[in-house]
Amino acid sequence: MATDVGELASKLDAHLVLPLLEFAASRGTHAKADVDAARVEILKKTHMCDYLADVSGVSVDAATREEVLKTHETLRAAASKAAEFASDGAAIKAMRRDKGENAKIAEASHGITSADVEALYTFAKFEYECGEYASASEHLGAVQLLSADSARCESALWGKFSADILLQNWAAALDDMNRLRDALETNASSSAYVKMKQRAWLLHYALYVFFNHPNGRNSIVDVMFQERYMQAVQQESPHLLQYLAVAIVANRKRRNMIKDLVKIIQSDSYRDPALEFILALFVDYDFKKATEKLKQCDDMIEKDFFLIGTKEAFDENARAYFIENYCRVNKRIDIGALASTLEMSASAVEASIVTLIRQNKLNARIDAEAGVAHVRVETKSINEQIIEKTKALLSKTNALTQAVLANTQAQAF
Amino acid sequence: QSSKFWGADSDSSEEVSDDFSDSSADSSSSSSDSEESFQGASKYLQDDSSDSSEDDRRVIQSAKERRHTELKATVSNVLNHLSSNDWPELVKSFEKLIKHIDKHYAMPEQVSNSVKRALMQVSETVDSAYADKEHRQNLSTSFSKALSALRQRVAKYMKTVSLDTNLTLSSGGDSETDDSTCDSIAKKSEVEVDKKDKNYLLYADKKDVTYEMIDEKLQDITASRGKKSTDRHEVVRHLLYVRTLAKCPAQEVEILLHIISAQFDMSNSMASCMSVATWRNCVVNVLRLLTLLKGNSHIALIEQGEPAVRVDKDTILNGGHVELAGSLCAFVERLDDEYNKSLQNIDPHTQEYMSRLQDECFLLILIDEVIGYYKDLQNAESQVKISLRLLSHIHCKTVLLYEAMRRFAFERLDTKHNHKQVIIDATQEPQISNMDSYYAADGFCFPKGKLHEVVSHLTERVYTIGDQRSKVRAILYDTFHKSVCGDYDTAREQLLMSHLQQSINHMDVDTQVLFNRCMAQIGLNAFQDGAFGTSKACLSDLLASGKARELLAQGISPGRHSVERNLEQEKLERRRQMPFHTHVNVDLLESVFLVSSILTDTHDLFIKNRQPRTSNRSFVRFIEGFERQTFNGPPEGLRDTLMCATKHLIEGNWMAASDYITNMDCWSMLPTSEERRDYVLKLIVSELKREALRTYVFQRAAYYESLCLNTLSAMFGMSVDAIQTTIHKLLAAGLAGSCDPPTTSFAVHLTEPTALHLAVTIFSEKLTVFLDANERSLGVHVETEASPQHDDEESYMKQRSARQSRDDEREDVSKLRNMRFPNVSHSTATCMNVGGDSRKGSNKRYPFTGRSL
Repeated sequence: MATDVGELASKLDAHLVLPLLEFAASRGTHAKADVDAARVEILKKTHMCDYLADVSGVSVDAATREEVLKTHETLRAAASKAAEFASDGAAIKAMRRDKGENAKIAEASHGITSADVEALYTFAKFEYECGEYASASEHLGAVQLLSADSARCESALWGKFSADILLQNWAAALDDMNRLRDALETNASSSAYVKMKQRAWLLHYALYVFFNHPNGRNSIVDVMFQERYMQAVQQESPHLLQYLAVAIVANRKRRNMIKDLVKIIQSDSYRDPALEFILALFVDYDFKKATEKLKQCDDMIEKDFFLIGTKEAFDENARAYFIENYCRVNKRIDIGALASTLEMSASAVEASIVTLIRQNKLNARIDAEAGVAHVRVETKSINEQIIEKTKALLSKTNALTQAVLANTQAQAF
Repeated sequence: QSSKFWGADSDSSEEVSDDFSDSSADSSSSSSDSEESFQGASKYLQDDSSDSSEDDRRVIQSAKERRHTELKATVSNVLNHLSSNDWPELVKSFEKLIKHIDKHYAMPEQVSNSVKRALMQVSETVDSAYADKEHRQNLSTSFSKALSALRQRVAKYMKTVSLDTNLTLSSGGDSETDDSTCDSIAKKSEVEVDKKDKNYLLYADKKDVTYEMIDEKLQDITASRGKKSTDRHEVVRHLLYVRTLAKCPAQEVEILLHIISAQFDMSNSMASCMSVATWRNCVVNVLRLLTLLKGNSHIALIEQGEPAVRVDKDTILNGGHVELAGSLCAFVERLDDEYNKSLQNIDPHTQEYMSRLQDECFLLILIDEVIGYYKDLQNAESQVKISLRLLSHIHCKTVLLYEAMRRFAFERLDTKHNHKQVIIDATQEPQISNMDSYYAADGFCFPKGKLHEVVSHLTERVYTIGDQRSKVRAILYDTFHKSVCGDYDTAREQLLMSHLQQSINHMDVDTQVLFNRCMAQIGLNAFQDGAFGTSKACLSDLLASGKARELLAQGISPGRHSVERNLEQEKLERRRQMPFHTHVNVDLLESVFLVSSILTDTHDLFIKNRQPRTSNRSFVRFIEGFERQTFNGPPEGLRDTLMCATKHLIEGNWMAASDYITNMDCWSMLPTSEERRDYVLKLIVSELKREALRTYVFQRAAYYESLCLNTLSAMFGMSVDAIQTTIHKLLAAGLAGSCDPPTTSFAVHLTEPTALHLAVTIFSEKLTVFLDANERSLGVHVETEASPQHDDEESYMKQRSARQSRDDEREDVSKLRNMRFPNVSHSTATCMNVGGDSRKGSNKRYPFTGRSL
C-alpha cells in the first residue's frame, strides 16, 4: 500500500492527504517516523502552525505564527463586507442560479462589488490553508454564487469541495462534486487533455465521498462508468480501478456491472488483487486462484483508508458470488470443503446456497446428512432454445414497422 | 485619280522591277554553284575553287575548310542583303544559311561566333525595320510581305538557338578576337573550335569573369530549360563550374537553385529515377545551399508567389536583402521521392540495394537539418511536411538498426573530417570534393538523441502544428514505431484512442496503407504477447481478402487480381510500393494469422446447433478446401502445413500438430529475441493443448456419460487443474454440462439435434441477421432522407449532432466494454479496400439501402 498512498496523494490536495497519513499511522502499515516526516512535509506547505508543532514536536517560531495571524487579520478586514454577507443565511438563500443577477442584487442590497468578492475569495483560501474549513466552505460558497468569473468559480468550487470533505459534510460534498462535474464539462476553454486530468483529480477527491456518503457506492459506479471518466481512469490513474471493483462487488445491486468491469479489466494491463480476484472468478473460473486472491483482497481492504468501510459487504458478497459460480459449474458440492476453502462456517455456506435456490438462481437440493448439495442440471430442449431465439423477432419487427410508418408519415407532411 | 494612283504606284513598280531583276540575277547565280556567285568575295575561296578544279585530292582534304568558307560566303551574302534592306533576297539567303547550319552542325550553337553575330544582326535589323511603321508602309507589298515572313522566320529560328547569342554580343571584344582566331585557324578541327567558343565563359580566366557574365549565363540556361535540344547533363556540368566562379553568396545560392533544378530535370519522366551519382551530388548541393542560407540571413527563399523585383548588382554584392524563388522543402521532398523511386527500381537482393540503403543516413541528416531551418523560419507547413518525411524513414527502424546507422554516419563524417576525403564517392565531378569539405566543416550531424526521443519529438511537433491529415499520419507512424519496438500496449492504446478505425476509409490510399501496416504490426505484436485472439482479429481482414500484398503496398499478389487492373492503375500501384526493407513479411503474417485461428477457432467447427461461426470464414474455407482434396500428401508450403496441423488437432493428436507448427521456419522471422521466441512457441503449444481439449469436448464428450479429468489430463498433457479451469470456462460460456468435484469427473449433457432442428436453428439465425440488416438500413435511411426536408434545418442539425455525439459515446463505451479489439477489426473490414471496391462491400452489407422504403 505504500505506493498507493503516494499515487493517491499525487492527485490530492495537501489537506486531504493528512487523513490518509493518519490512517496509515494508526494501522501501522508504515513506520511511524516515515509517516510523521511525510506529515511535516505536507504541513509545511499549509499555514496550520499549531498542527505542525503538534506533529513535529518542535514549536514553530513565534514570528511565523504571528505573521500568519496578521495576514489572517488583514485579509479578514479586507473581506469583512463580503464575509458578513456570506454569513447572512437569508441573503444567500435569496440568491438565484443566475450569476449576473446575483452580483447585481448583492451590489444593490449590500453594496458588494466584485473587488469584495475577490477579497473574500483570498480570505477563504487563507482560511482553508489555516484549517478553518467551516468558514472557508461558507465563504467559498458565497464566492461561487457571486463571482462572475467562471475560472474563479471553478477554483472556489474545488476549494469548497475539499473543505466539505474535510468537514465530513458528505451531503454537501456530494453536491459540490456534482456541481464541479458540470463545471468541468461546460468549461469550453480547457483542452480535452486538461479536462481528462481534471477528471482524474476529481475522482481522487471524490473517493472520500464515494466511500463515506451513504449512497456513495452507487455513485462511484455511475460516475466511473461514464466514458469520459473511464478514460481518465485508464489513462491517468488505473489504480482507481480497484476501488471500482470493490465497490461493485460490495454492492449487490450493481452485480450486472460485473460483466462490464471484466471487459475493462481485460483491456487494461493494470493488475491488483481485487481485479485479479474478479478475473479468476468470472473469467477463468479458477476457484483455487480466486480463493487465494480473495485472501489478498481481505488484507488489502484492511489497510485501505477508503475501503475499510466496505469490508463486511465485500466479504459477504464476494463469497456469495464465489458460491454461486461454483454451483453453476459443479453438480455435487461438498459444503464442508467449500466452507473450509472460503473460511466460512458450513452453515453460512449452506445458507447462501439456500438463498440461491430461493432466488431461483439454482436448481438444487441439499442433502444435509451428507453435507452435499446436489445441483440438478437441466438442459433446455432444442425446441425451447429455438423458441427463445425467435421470441424477440416479432417484437423487433413490430418496432421496425412502427418506425417505418412514423418515418413515411413524417415525410408525407 | 487613276493617274495619281499609278503615279503612287510607279515608285513601287520601279522597286518591284528592281527587285525582279535582282532576284532573277540572284536566282540564276544561286542556281549555279554558290561558290561561283561569290568568287569575288573571297580570295580564299577563289583559291580553293581553283584548287578544286586543278586537284581533286586537295579538295577532299579540305572539305571541312571548304564548308567553312561556304558558310562564310553565305553569311556575307546575308549581310549584304541586310545592309541594302533587300528583304525578299534576304529571305532566300537567310534560308540558305539556316539550311547550311542545320546540315553541317548537330547543334546550332556550335557555329562560329561570326555566324552568330550575323544572325543577331539579322534579327535586330529585321526587328527594327518591322517596328518602324512608316518605313513598312512605304514598302511595296512584296517587300512588306517578305519582311514580315522574314521576321517570323528569324524569330522562330532565334528562339531555338538563343543560348549563346546574347553572350556573344555582350562580350563583343572577346568574341572579336575569338572570331579572328577562329577564322585564321580554320584548319583546326571544328569540334574543338566549337567547344572553345561555346564554353568561352568556362575557359575564361576566373579573374575576368564578372557578375554580369554569370548572371547572363544563368539567364541563358533558364531560357533553354525544357527545350528538346538542350543537353541536360551539359547544362548541369556548366552550372557546376559556374558555381565555383560565384561572386557572392547570393549568387551562389541562385546558381545552386539552378543546379538542383537542373539535376532534377535530368531524369525525363516520372517513372524513371535519378541516377545514384546525380542524387548524391544533389544532396550535397542542397546541403551546401542550406549552409549558405543559414549563414546568410539576408538571403531569403520565397516558396510561394513571386519574389520581389531583383535588386541591382551592387546591393547584391554588398550583401543586401535578396529574395529568390525556390523551396528547400520541395527539394527535399523531391530528393526523398527520388530515393524511394530508386529503391523501388533496384533489385532488393543485390549489393546495389545495400549500398543504396547507406545513402539513407545522408537523407536523414539532410531532412533533419532542413527541419531545423524551417523551425527557425517558423514555417509550420513545411516543417510538418518534412517532419513527416523523416518519420516515414525512421518509423520502421528498430533501436538497434538506428544506432548502427548513426554509427555509420559518424564514421563517414569523421573520416571525411580528418582526411578531407570524398564522402560521396560515386560523383565523378572533381568539384564535388571541395564541396565535401564544406559539408564536413559545417558539421552536419545525425539527428540527435535516441530513436524514441526523435520520434516522439517529431510527432509532438506535428500534433501541435500539423493539419488533420498530417496528424493522422504522425499518429500512425508513431504507433507503428512503438509496435516495431515492441511496445505493444502503448501502440494498441494509441491506435484505439485515435478512433481512426472509423474514419480511415475516407483517407487517401497512402494513409490507408500505413494504417494497414500498423494493424499488421500490432497483430504480430499481439501474437508475440500471447494474445492470439487479438492477433487474429487484427490480421483477419488483411489476410482474408487474399490481397494482403496490395493492402500493404508490398507488391502484387499473384492471381486473378492482377488481371483486372488496367495499365494506369498498375502504374499507380507500382509508384505506391513500399521499399523492400520496410516490408512486413506477408508469409509471417499469414502463418501468425492461421496459427492464431487454429488456437482459437478450431473447436468452433464442432459446436452443434449452429453454423460455424462466421467471424473467421477464411479459416473455415481453408479447412474445407483441405478436406475436399482426395489425396493429402506430405504438406508443402505454409498453408498446407498448417492445415495438416489442424487436421491432426481435430483428431486429438496435438503432439503431431505442435510438431508441425513449432517446426515451421517462419518463426525465425519473428522480430524478437531468442528467449521471447521460445516463450511464444511454448505458449503456442500449451494453447494448442487447450484447444485440442476444447475440440475434443465439443466433438466427443456427448458420447460419454462422464469423463474422467485424470484421463483427460493424461491425454492432453495438462494438469488436472488446468483441465478443470478450461472446462469451467466452457461451461460458463454456455456448454450444457457439469463437473463433479468428488469424483473429479465431468459430463456433458447434449442431445443430438435432428436435421430439422438444425435447419430451423440456422433459419432463425438468418432471420435475426436479416432483421438486423433491416434495422440498420432503416437507421441509415432516416438519417439521409429526412435532412433536406426538415423545415428548421438548424435545430434539426443540432438535434442530429447531439444524437450523433450520444451515439458516439455509446459506441465508445461499448468499445471499451467489448474488449476493444473486435471493434477495430470490424471497422477495418470496410477500410481495407484499398483497391477501390469499398462500394461493393457496403452494398453487400446493407442490401436494402434505398429500396426498402
